[in-house]
Amino acid sequence: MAEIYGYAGKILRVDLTSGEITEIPSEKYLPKYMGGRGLAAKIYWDEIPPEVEAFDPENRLIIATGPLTGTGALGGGRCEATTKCPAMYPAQSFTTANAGYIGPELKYAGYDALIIQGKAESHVYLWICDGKAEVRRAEELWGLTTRQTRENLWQKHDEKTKVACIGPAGENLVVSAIISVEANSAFGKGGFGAVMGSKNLKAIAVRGTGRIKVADSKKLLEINNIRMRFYNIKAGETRVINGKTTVGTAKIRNSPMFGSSKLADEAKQGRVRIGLGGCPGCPLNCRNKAEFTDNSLPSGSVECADMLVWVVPEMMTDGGKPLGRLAWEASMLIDDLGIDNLQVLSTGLMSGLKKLDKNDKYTNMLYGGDWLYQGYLAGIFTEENTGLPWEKFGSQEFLRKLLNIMAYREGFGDILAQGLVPATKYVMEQEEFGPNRKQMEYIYQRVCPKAGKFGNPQERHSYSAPDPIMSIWCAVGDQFGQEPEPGWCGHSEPWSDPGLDPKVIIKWLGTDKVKDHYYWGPEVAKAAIAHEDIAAVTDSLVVCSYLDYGMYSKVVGHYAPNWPDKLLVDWEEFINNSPNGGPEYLSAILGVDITPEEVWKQGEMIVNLVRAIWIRDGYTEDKYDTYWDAVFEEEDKEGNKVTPKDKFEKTILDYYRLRGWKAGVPMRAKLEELGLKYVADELDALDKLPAIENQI
Amino acid sequence: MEVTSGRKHLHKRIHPLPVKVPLPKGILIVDGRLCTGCMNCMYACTLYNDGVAAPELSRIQLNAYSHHIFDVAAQPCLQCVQPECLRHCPQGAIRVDETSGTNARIIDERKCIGCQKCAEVCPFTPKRIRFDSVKKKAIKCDLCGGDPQCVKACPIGALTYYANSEGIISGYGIGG
Repeated sequence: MAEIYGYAGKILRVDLTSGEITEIPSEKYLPKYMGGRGLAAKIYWDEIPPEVEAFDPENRLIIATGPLTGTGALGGGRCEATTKCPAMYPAQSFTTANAGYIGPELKYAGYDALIIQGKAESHVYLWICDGKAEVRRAEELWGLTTRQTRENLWQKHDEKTKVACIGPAGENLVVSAIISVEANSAFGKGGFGAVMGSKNLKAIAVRGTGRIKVADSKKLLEINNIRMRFYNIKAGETRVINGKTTVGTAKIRNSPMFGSSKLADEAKQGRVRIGLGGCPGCPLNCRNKAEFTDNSLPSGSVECADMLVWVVPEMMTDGGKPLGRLAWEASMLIDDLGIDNLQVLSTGLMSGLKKLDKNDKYTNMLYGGDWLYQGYLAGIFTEENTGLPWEKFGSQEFLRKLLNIMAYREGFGDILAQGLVPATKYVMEQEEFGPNRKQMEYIYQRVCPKAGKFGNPQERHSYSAPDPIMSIWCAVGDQFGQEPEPGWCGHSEPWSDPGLDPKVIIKWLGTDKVKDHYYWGPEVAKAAIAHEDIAAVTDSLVVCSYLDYGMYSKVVGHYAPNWPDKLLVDWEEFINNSPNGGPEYLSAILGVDITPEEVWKQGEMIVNLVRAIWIRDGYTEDKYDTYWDAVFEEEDKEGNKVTPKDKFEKTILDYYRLRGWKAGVPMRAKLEELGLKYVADELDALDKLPAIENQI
Repeated sequence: MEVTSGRKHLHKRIHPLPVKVPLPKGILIVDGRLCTGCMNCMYACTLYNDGVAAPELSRIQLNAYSHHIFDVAAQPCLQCVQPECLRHCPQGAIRVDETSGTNARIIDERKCIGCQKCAEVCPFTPKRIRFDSVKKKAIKCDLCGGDPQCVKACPIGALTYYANSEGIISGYGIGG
């Protein structure tokens, strides 16, 4: 057998109904589908038919690594989970999310991917160790928080074991439940935790001591050393970048979370220790650790977004700097119960205090939690009809109550646990919510701007206007996943950075017209496609989406305007590198010369395959790839429409034309060109392919 | 100093091969306040030396793997002034690398029989000697011949390579 580079070579299948554990050779899918999102999409296409619903035993939970996972390539510490997503409404379909730690470990244990199907008779967990898998009883774990579960399994096995588990929210099939991975990562948006709960699977524990062969390991190290310079400056290192001298300091001082926070102040007084951490092989260290010396709060490690969840309520209650004990305790609670922080809970970075004013630009950033808060402001939610202590909004008591009723589905929490679309419908129908209850429709539409069949409470996180690329990308993409959001061109918000150098944008997106946030035209569609293909590759490699430069520039510009790292890119140096390192890394790891064009073509194939899945799952009726009218009505402060409907709809047609799609459906010619003839045939058999005579 | 943490109590024993070993001329130093446990050094180690990605094999290890633990830091081989590994190797396979100028304590792969005695006597936790289960040989840090890849790969600047041609007093045996 030829040497396998970059991949582990096997895929593990666990059938919880029969208890059968089998292996599939990876060659069946790889390297054609690359890995991660692409591999998972192929398995989804083959194994999850349209009639299967999210909580059916026949649904699959697929955890897929990529060729970069665990190879030491920068950002290769992550992997993708895929399933038929229960959070979509009324139709359910493909979604992915990525998380750290468990991917590399899975590969060292010998597997490129893990397919979980069926439903266990009793509560179980899955133990995978160096080429062996075992389904074990987990009665004593059921009901525990994610932290207790992890600690229990670390004790049972060893501390190097990587644990992915669900909390009470997942057990109770809350559609915003996460699969918590280690202390500070999660397969988030989409309800992965609920799918795991529906299979009676409490946890997946993985330990691997194996190795992944890399064809040209020294080349890989070279690429690492080049790319590391884009994200970091070493402590004490002096570098002249774009004519500016920058000196590296201890990174913790420049952390976007701890830079200027109550916790940092407490750290100076010695009451708490703060630090950073991150996924294996990543230079960013985006996780925040805190340890309370008097044990007054649990010590732990959280992702940046966890800490932002309760930041606005916290500032409302005790004022001053953000991110103190309240925010910390909030993030710990959320992790314990296993609820996605952004999807339903978050009150957002900016929106907690805002009223829904049509001319308020900042209302761009609305989250699931805003649905609740805006409903309260509109006089719809009261203590009587929700059981929530509204007069104490922002307090720990309020948060605890909200989380508990959601995770354990008590009272109004049972409604929230079903997702925002059913909840909106319920509130609008029930008289107890008062005369203003019909306003919930508008509030829903502002929180979840994407119209059509696959209702999705996460859209707003990615959608931001005016930004034509983002508007197009967000309308067509599956935002539950963490595809890198386009941040190529800077952001429309006033606090944002100016974006990337035009030369870089032209090289990778084909045009620099997109730097104008009010320009609409075919160039926008072209740039959105280029970005989408690159993003599909990022998710398939799997590189952390935060290391994809399209996303990274956004995050750094957006959330950390004073982060010196944003000064670290010498554009002349960067332009010779790809946004996610895909072509360079693949050549080194797989040992074949692979050009950027070939890699992006694979990305295009993956985008088309995912779209075909959506079409097969029912994404063809009513309106789709668009927003609610309420969204098109939004204006900026000068009275210009931020997403003009006529221009948007024209550009979506350009997008379809350039994609080789008709009315949102890939045409046979395009599918065949991408090596997806079997997809075209199946869609044809289901009468879901555009008619031949319409194909030009 | 962070690098000496994890030191284990040793019983007094008679060294089978009492030898005088020249001082190391280069060592790796970790700033525990900066290290985040990101494992980039571990990957660099095995990619450079073994051509594979395998944290288990890395000659530089972490002291903890649970990500909420605070004092997680990389733990390189200290190139001890009294290298227990060298003294106890029944094959005399561990020697001082005088050709590269680092005086690193290195393992001669041809002589190593994979008995793991060296790992057993290493006074530090985690053990600075690793075992390659494919080759059935012990492996340890050779400072990459004076150009340590882990230092290059550290994104934070927590790792430094300190060289001194007069010799450095480091690791086990400092106290006498």
